[in-house]
Amino acid sequence: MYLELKNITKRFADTRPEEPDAVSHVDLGIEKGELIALLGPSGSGKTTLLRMIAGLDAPTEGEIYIDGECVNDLSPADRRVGFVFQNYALFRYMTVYENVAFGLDVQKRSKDEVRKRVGELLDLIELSHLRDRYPNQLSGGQRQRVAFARALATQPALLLLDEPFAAIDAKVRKELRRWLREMIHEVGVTSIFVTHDQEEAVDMADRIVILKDGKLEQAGSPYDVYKNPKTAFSATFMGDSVVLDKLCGFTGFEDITDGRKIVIRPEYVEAFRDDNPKFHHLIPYSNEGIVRDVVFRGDSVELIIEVNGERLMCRRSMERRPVSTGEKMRVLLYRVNVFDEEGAQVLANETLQDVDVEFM
Amino acid sequence: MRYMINKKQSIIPGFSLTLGITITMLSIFILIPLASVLVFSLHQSPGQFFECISDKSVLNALITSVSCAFGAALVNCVFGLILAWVLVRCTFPGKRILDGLIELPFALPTAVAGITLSKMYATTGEIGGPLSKLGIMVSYTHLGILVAMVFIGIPFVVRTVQPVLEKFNPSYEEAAYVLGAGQFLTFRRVILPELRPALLTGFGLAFARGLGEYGSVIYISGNSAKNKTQVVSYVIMQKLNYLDYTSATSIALLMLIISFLLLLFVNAMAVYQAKRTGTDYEVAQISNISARQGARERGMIVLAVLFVFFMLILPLFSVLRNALAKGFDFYMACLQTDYVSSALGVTVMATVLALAVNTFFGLVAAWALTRFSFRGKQVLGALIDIPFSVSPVIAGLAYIMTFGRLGWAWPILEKFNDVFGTDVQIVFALPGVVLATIFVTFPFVSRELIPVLNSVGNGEEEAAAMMGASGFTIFRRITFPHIKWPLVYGMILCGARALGEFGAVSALSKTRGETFTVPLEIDALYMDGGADSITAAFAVSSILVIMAVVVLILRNIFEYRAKAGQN
Ligand SMILES: Nc1ncnc2c1ncn2[C@@H]1O[C@H](COP(=O)(O)OP(=O)(O)OP(=O)(O)O)[C@@H](O)[C@H]1O
Ligand SMILES: [Mg+2]
Repeated sequence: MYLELKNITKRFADTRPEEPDAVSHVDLGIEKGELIALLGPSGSGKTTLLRMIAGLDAPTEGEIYIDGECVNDLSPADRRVGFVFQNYALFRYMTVYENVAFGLDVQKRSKDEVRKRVGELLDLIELSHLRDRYPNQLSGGQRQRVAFARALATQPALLLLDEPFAAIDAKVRKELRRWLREMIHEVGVTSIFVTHDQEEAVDMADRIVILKDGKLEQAGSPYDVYKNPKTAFSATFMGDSVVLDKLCGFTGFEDITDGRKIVIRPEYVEAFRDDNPKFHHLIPYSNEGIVRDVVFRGDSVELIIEVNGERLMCRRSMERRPVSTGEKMRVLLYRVNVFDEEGAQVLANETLQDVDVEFM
Repeated sequence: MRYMINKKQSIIPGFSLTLGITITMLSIFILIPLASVLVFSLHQSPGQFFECISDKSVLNALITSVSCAFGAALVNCVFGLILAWVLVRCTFPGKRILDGLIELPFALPTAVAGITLSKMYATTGEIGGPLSKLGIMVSYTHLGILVAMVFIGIPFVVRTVQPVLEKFNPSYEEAAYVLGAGQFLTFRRVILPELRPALLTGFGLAFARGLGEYGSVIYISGNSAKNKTQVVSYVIMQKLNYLDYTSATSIALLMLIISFLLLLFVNAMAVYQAKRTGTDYEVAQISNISARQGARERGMIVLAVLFVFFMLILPLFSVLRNALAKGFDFYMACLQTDYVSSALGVTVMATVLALAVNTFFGLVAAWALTRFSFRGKQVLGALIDIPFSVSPVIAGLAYIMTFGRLGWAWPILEKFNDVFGTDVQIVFALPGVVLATIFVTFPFVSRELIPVLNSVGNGEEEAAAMMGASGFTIFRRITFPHIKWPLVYGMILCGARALGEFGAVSALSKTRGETFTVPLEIDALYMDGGADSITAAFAVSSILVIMAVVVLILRNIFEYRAKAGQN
C-alpha cells in the first residue's frame, strides 16, 4: 500500500454535539500509481478527508501513512503532496511561469533547473505560449491546467485534486477529464480527486471510494461498485435506480415487507406489449403495468411504469415501437438488489430459472 | 522538522505571533487607557456617579448631543443614500471628483471644519447671511450643531452603502420589473431591504461619530449653557480644565457605554449583512448595470451635487477666502510665526510616529484577523474599531487617567525618572500628544486591509504554505501584492487624520509654542477673537486644507489603482 489511512476521524471544534463527525473512522489503502475518485454527496466529508491527507488539517484521530511512514506530524511540504485547489488558488499577481516556478523557488533550486523544469511542464500542458499571462487572462480550462502544472512542479509523490472540474462548464469538462486522466497516467503520479459527479468518477478513476456522512460506504473499481453495491446508498448513487420500501405481488419474487430496502436498476426491468411475439413466452412470468411517463433521453426512451402501485423505470431502444402514456404493458423483473444492515443481496426472478432468457 | 498543526488553526504560519502582537498593541494603546477611566470612576459610589450624570448642565449636554447626532444621522441616511445611488448608478461629468470629495470630512481637520462652518453660517457669513434675512439662525443654535454633525457624518453612510449597491445583483431588480413592479415599489420592496443593514451600519457609525464629536462642533455651537448648546465632549473638556476628574470620568464612562452599544449594533449589522449576502464575488463582477438616465436620475444628481457643493465645496473656498481677507503679505506673515513653525514640527512628528505604529499594527492585525479563525475574532475586530466611536476628548482623558498625577501609572513613571535621573513626562508633554494621535488613528490602516484580505480569501496563502514557503515569503510574494494600494491609501487617510487631530491632543497639550499642534494653534488664534488673529487662524488652516485636498487626490488615484488591480 502506498497511501494508508487508518481509522481517520475528524471532528471540527465548533461542531455541535448532536452533529456527526465530518469524517468518521475511515480506513483506506491506495496502491502506487492508482487514480482514485472520492465520490459522495455535498457535505459528505470529501474535502475534509483530502485536506487531512494533504496536511492542511489535522485528523482528530487515526494515522496517515505515505510509503510506509506515518506523516501525521509532517508539514504538507514535507509530505511531498501536490494539491489542486477547488478554485485553483492561482497566485493572481504572478504570471503563469511564476506560478509554476513558485514551489521550486521556495525549495531554492538553481535558476537553470527551475527554467528547465517549468519549461517541461508548460510544454506538457501545452501552454508555453501563455507563460507571461496572468491568471485572470486565462480561460477556466487553462487555469486548471496551470494549477495542475504548479502542483506537479516539485515532483510530488501524491497528487490531490479537489473537484478539479467544478469551475468549468459542462462541455469543456468532458474534454479536460480525458486530458487530465492521460496526463496523470503519463506522469505516473498516484492521485486522488474529489467529485460528486458519478459519471466523472466512472469515466476517470481506477477505483472509486464512496463517502456518505463522513463514513466510507464502499471502495472498488467502477465496475465492481456498479455491479455489486454493498449498500443501498452505493447502489442508488451509481447509476439511476428506483428504491422501494417493500416488494409485493411481483411474479417470481417472494414478498418483502420487513423494512429491507429494494433497489431496482432500469436494466433489471423489461417492458413489452403482449402482442410482441419475441416475448410471448415470458408473459406468464410478468405483471401488468401502466405507462405513466415517457421521457426521451437522447439515445433511448425512459419509461416510468406503475406496477402493483410501485413506479419502476426502464429504458427502451429507439428501434422499438413507440409507446405512449396510459398504455398497458407487461413488465418483467429480472432481478433486484436487497439491502439490510448486514449487507447486500441479489435476488433473481425464481420462475425464470428454467426459461432460457438472455440477461441484459 | 517537527511540525504540528493545531487543531483549530491553519497551516499558514504566524498565528500566535500576529495575534500576540495585535492583542498587545491593542491593550497598550486602547484598552488599558480606557480601563483606567473605568477604574477611576469605580472609586466613587453609584450615588456619586448618578449625581455627576444628573447635573443639570450634563443632562442638557447629553440631550443636545444625542438629539443632534440622531437628527444628523437621519439626514445623512437620506443624503448618503442619494449620493451612493448617484455614484453607483448614474454617469455624469465630474462624478469622480464628487466621489473623491466624499472623504473630505475625514481628511479635513475637525478644528478647521469647525471654524469654517461657524464663520460661514454666522449672520455675516456666506450662507448664514441670506438665511438670517429669512429669520433662520444657524450658528450658535442647535441647527448649527446639526449642520456640523451632518458634515462629519456623511462619509460613513455613503461609504457603507456604496459597496453594497455596487455588489447588488441587478437581476433581482430586473426580476421585480419583469413581474410588473413599478420603480417605487421595486425600490421599497427589493432594493431597500438589501440596503437596510448597510444603512443601519452607516447610521450607527455616523451617530457614534456625532455623539463624540468635538472639534467641528464647538465653534458653531457657541457652547452656551443658557441656550443648551453645549455638547457632551465640550462638557468633559470643561470639567478637565477645572480639574474635576470625577465628573469628567463619570460622563466619559456613560459615553463609553453608549459607544460600545452602538459598536455592538454596528458589528451585529455587519455580521447579519455578511450572512445575507454571503461572499458572492462572481455576482459583484457582472453587476455593471447600464446607467438609466430618466428625470428621476437627473433630479437625484442635482440633489447630490447641491449637497456636495454646499456641505463640502463651499467650506473649502470659504477657508481660502477668509485666509486671504487681509492680503497675501499678511497671509505669508501669519505662516511664519514661531508658534506656527513649532506647531508644524510637533504635528509632523506626531503624524510620522502614529503612521509608523498604526501601519505596523494594521498589517499585523489584518493578517491575524483574516488568515485564521479563532474564538473571539468578532470581539477583537470590534475592539480595534473602538477609536472610531469614542470621542477624542475621552481618548485624551484616558491617557490623563493613566499617566497623569491621578493615574495608576504615575508612580511607575516617577520611579523610572528617579532611577534613571530623567524627567520623562507623558501627559501635557510630547509623548502624550503622540499617544493621543496614535489612539485616534489606530484602526485606519487595518480597516482598509481587512475587507480586501477577506474578499481575496486565504487560498493562495494556503497553496504557497503547502509548497513550503515561509511566512515572510508568503507575505512578500503572495499577500503584499494584493494589499499594496489599499495599504497606501489607508496610510494616507491615517496620516490625514493624524495631522488634523484636535480633541484628544487638546486635552493633553497645554503649552503653546511647545506641545501645540497645528490644529491647536488654529484654535488658539481663533479663540483670541481679534479680526487679525481670526484671519491668521484661517491662514494657518489653509495649509491643512491644501494638504487635505492633496490627500483626497492621492486617495482617489490609489483607490482607482486598487480597483483596477483587482480585475
Ligand atoms: N472548517 C470547518 N469547520 C467546521 N465544520 C466544517 C469545516 N469544514 C467542513 N465542515 C463540515 O464538515 C462536513 C464535511 O464537509 P466537507 O467540506 O468535507 O464536504 P464535501 O464532501 O467536500 O462537500 P462538497 O461536495 O459540498 O464540497 C460538513 O458538514 C461541513 O459543514
Ligand atoms: Mg468540498
